[in-house]
Amino acid sequence: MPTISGSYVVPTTDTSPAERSLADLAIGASATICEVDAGDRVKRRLLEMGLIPGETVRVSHIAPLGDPIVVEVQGYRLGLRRGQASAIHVTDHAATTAGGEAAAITSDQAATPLRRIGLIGNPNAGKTTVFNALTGLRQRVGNYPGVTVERRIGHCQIATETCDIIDLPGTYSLSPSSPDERIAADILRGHAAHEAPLDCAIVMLDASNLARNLLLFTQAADLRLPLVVGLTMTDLAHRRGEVIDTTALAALLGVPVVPMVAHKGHGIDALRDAIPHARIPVTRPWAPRGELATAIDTLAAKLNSAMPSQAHSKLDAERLLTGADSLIDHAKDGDERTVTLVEHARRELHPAIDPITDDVASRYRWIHSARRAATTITAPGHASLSDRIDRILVHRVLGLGFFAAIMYGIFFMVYYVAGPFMDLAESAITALGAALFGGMAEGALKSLLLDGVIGGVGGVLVFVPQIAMLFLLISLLEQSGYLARAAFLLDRSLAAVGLHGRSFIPMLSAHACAIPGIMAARGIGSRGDRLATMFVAPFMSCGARLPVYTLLIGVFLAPHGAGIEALALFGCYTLGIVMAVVTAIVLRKTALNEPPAAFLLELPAYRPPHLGQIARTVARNSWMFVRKAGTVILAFSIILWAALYYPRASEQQINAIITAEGMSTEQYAALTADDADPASITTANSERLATITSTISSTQVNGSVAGRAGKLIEPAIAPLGYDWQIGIGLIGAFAAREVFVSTMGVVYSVGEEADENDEQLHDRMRSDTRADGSPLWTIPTVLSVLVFFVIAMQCVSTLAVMRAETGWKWTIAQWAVMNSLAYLMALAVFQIGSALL
Amino acid sequence: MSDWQDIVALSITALCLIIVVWRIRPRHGKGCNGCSHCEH
Repeated sequence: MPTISGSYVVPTTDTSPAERSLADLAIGASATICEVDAGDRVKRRLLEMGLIPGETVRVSHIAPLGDPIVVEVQGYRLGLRRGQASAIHVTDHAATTAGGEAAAITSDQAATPLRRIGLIGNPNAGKTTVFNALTGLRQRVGNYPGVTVERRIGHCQIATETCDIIDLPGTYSLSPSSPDERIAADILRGHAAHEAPLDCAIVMLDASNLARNLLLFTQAADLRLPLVVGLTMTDLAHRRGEVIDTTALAALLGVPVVPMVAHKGHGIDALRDAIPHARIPVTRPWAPRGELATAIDTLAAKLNSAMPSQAHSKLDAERLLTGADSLIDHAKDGDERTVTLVEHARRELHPAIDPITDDVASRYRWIHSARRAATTITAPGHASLSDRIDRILVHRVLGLGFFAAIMYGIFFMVYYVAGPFMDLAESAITALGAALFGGMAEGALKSLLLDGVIGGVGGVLVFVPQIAMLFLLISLLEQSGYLARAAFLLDRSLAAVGLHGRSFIPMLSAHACAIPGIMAARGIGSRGDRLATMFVAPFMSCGARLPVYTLLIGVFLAPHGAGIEALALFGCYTLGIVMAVVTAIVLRKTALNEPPAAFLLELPAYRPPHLGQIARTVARNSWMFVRKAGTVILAFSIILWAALYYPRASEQQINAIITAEGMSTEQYAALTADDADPASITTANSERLATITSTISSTQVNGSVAGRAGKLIEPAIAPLGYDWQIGIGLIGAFAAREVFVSTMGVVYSVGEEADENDEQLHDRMRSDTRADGSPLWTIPTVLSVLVFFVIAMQCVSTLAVMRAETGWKWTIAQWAVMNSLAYLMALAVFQIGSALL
Repeated sequence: MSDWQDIVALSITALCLIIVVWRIRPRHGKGCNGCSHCEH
């Protein structure tokens, strides 16, 4: 049956009745692949992942909901959906494979100095570890495919030259299927805008998964770029009973090969020494032969005669015919002549030869012969530790139980174990504020420092222990290799709401901060899945919402018992997830109504976490949080302080308040002077002084710039149960959510540092009333504010990243949708709540 | 308003306004606005 691929039809052969699809196999069943029957892009990627005709494949796990499945192929484990597996036809009979002969091509070794060196490899092959070791930088390292989502540059001394080392996103192939893979392929091929071509490339090969890694080597070798190979994870391969003879491998590949155990620093110096000896491989043993080679020559000639202005090499023609260069891209660019010529050439070869399968299969044939020649198997056939762990963690029933337990553990650690550390941080900040500014003379500067700086920044810094705990746990999961399993377990559920298994990582990261969440979505291949994930990631309750939740729940719901408090916090997180799910479903049925994408995810071997790297990740992220508090939040706090402090209440207004309490202005001045005798303040005076101070504060806030702004928006927010004071908090929160807590502190004029645990702030908030004397902070009001904060898009930094990733259209849509939903939901909660309670 | 403390406080506020506008401005052609939220 023909399959539709983009704008053209790919003819495929019928399968014989004896064949069945990979999706039909039970757990533990093995079979031999006969054919991959899918559209060009998916077909090529499935083949490149090692699912080639003749290869033996075994189903090792099935996800709890029956989809996706994990198969073992080429010595590694790959998660894929049943839909894709059903495109792979298998039989129970093993096929034979033929070895390839070397096709020699002329060598033209580079003579130019090596100034720009690319670092490429499969996802999770250890590139970033090597990059850090070579450049002395400290980039994030994970055990999850897709940690590097954009290229990064560092410098390294190679011989006498200082070179740029460019760490490229991990890619399985140079026929990209996601934006991060495209970055890698474009830079490597010298097609990237604003990027000078590379002088040489280091290809990182994972020794524990050599076959699939070598496929990328064959494609890199085709680029005629000097290469050097870093063979990582040799320790892991050794434990699996495989010993690789690097000298033999270097001879087969035609480039220097350096064995490495990158995380222990072994082999880094040798790699640095080998870089100047990088070579362009002389032979191209995987080159097409026979009828396919003739067809490529004919196509190159036709392309050159049809478009004489563009020089088409044989390699260009080969890439087009074998689908390495996507025809869909050419069709999109309006290059109809190329599309027509290539489709014609494919039709002429059909059905005897399928260029896509032939290309990848011929590469794998050479790879297997090279691997056999260079590898000695010392202990075959025993189940690895990862296999044994996966029997439990990816089990159809137990797997979900473990997943739930791990998520609960994260929640528990972040909220309860980090608590005492937060109390410690709070005491330290309070003591620091008192020690630094307590003795200053009364005036604008003291107010700025205590209310603006300590009140604003201190309230946010209290959260450093919690943020550090969150990053610690996410790093541990990521480095261990568990996150890939979580994506596998959840793919079916996420696919049901229009997302993708890979959406799990962005969504989990977004619980710390939406920005790394949105960035991590780059690894998702399909546009629809990627945009939907980016769109809904900010619904996840991020670290900045925590102070608001803690303040409101702590002040108003804690008196109802710890159970209600925990339930409210859990409810906030759940509501965020529910809103994300509903929005994703609606998006995929309307603006992003595209067919579901492929799910191909490697399940890497479990690795013990590298504590040094985790410590660095936690320290860096905590420092970033502190820096944000020290820059943007500090600046916002001071601006809000000024908006609440100016214009000052006039002397006449203050005098009127003092005399209204039956005190003369002279008496007031004497009692509030710095050198006032405490013995002269009677109980009656003390009460009157407190009333005067409070009335002056509220008159001040009423007349301030922020007070007037709050009143201006009051008609709009009154239906939600908010008064102008909450309005001021909302305005501030649209810069950064944490600012709400510090604004409440300043609005309620506590005159001291305010954080979410400040008892004075709590009392003032609890006793605040509306103009008619009824309490302001009723349960419906509190719930309404919580719901608003869960749903609203209030973070300028997130919007800026969203715009950079997707453009204005999606950013504006996201802002409008999230805030409209927040308003409507908060309105419903307040109105329904008020009617019921 | 003539108090020197007010003048200093308002100058600091003006400086903060400049910092905020500078930090959150969109930067064209980059994958990140350098807001320091994450390491990218």
